[in-house]
Amino acid sequence: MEDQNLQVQNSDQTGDYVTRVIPQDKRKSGLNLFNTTAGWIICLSTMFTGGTLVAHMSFKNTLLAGIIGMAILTIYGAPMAGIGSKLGVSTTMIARHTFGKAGAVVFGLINALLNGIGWFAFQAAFFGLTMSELFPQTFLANPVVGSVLGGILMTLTAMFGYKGISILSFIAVPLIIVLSLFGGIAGVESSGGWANLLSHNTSDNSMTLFQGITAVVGNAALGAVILSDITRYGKKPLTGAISAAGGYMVGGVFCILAGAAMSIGAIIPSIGTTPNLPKVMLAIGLGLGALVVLVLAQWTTNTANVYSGSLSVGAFVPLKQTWVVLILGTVGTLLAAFNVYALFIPFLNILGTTLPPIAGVILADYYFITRFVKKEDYHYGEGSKYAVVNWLAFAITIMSALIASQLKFFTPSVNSIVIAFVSYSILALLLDKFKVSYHVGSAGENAAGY
Amino acid sequence: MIKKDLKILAIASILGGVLNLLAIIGEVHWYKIFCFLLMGIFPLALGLLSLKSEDAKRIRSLAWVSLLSGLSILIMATSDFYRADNMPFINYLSAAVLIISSVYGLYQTVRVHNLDIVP
Repeated sequence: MEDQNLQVQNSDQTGDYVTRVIPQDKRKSGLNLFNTTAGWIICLSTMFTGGTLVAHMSFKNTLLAGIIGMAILTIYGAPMAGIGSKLGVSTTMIARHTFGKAGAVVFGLINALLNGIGWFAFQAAFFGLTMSELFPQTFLANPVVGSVLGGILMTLTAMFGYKGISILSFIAVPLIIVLSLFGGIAGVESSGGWANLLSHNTSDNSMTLFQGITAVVGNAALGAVILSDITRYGKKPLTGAISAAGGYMVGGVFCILAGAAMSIGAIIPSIGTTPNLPKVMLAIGLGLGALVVLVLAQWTTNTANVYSGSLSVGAFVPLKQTWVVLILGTVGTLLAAFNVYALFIPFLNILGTTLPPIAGVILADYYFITRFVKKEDYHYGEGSKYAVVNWLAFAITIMSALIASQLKFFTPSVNSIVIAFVSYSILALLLDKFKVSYHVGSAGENAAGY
Repeated sequence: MIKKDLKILAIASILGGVLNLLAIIGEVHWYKIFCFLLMGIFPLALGLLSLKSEDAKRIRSLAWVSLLSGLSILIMATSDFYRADNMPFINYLSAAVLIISSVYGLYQTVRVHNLDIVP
């Protein structure tokens, strides 16, 4: 009878354990998490960031900005990933305890709109634009066609849940790395070798190292906040944290370097004049390789984007996971058809200032207040209790984002996460000490996890 | 069954790897030699290491390495830059051996040995 109850508790009604703790026997290896996270960060826009950086700073500083920027992201990405593997639930489910059950809905909506629809639409549109540049004499010359085709592909994989994404990443990540490596070698050879290549200094040195780091962090800030959506499949917290942080770091630095190298290569007349990796590869006779890199890089990233958005929506909308993915993917694809490329810079600014404080609050609430001070843990399953709203978490998130946007030093993303972590830790500790509750209302979890 | 599958896959991997290494013969461009060497050495080495193994998970590892090597070799072979000068067909042959054997390996992994397709 007890076993039956346990089975009912663990029954997964939405598919892919959207509102459930993932059973240990369903968890995946560190290699799996590494690949999937690397696949998430490896995309053309990250490569383009590398290309942009090297146009405004030296190659050495570009490399430093890439390494430092990605390392900063892993400082808060790794502990977030660790929570995911420890608890076996998505970021929105984690936010139920931090922000309250209704508060998590707000976080879920923000993530779904930004990541599942907005970022998805941007990447799909980017995919269409690049396709049209690469194949101007074909039916792909119209960016709308590429955007729609890309959107369909990316949505379809996410409909298979984590399994679909991890299988795709297992194929895509090694292939992209190998093909980019040989694409890079071909580029260097075509331009007359390294010495010839490095003698061309195109940098206008208009960007400082800190600005470079800010660009790198801003480009991938959101992904590091929601790494738990992937690492909830991790077997152990440490494995999840190291694998995901490693995948994010390696994938990100690789992309920035590849973009920067190709951008330098692109100044050689025999190759062309674009920091667009697939275009360079196409120009030097790696046609199929260019297509594969382009398709796979965008595919892995965007399928994970819509997947994460669907986990957020699925945490409070009792629909099958496949339907949620289909709805978000369709909306994102339609938006992509209208080309959101122009929104690139403001979008990065929003990501860089508003989302990291959410991670700061979650980290402070989980590691400091709940685990360290109260010696408790977050619990899930039927009968679990949550606050309806944690007003302190919201206040700190908004305040941190506002303060960080006004500060003139270092990067807003990192500033906001530090402010959020420190201020939440102190204020929550004080309020607890003076018996002032910052949790409003009480809500339970039913058998389906809602 | 595990031993039989492993043997088939290991031999296919060794064959695929050796075929790709054969493309080095007579090659003068360092980058082509590097490409053929790198793409051939992984399936060859893992194939050799797997000959005596009895672990079903090794079938999966071998299948994945073969698949990724085979796909990479195939994509490189279609390019003007990395096509073997003397024996272009040998890259295609190597890729075909590796890809076909990997599909068999992954099928057996899931259907016969009841393992997840990815670890």
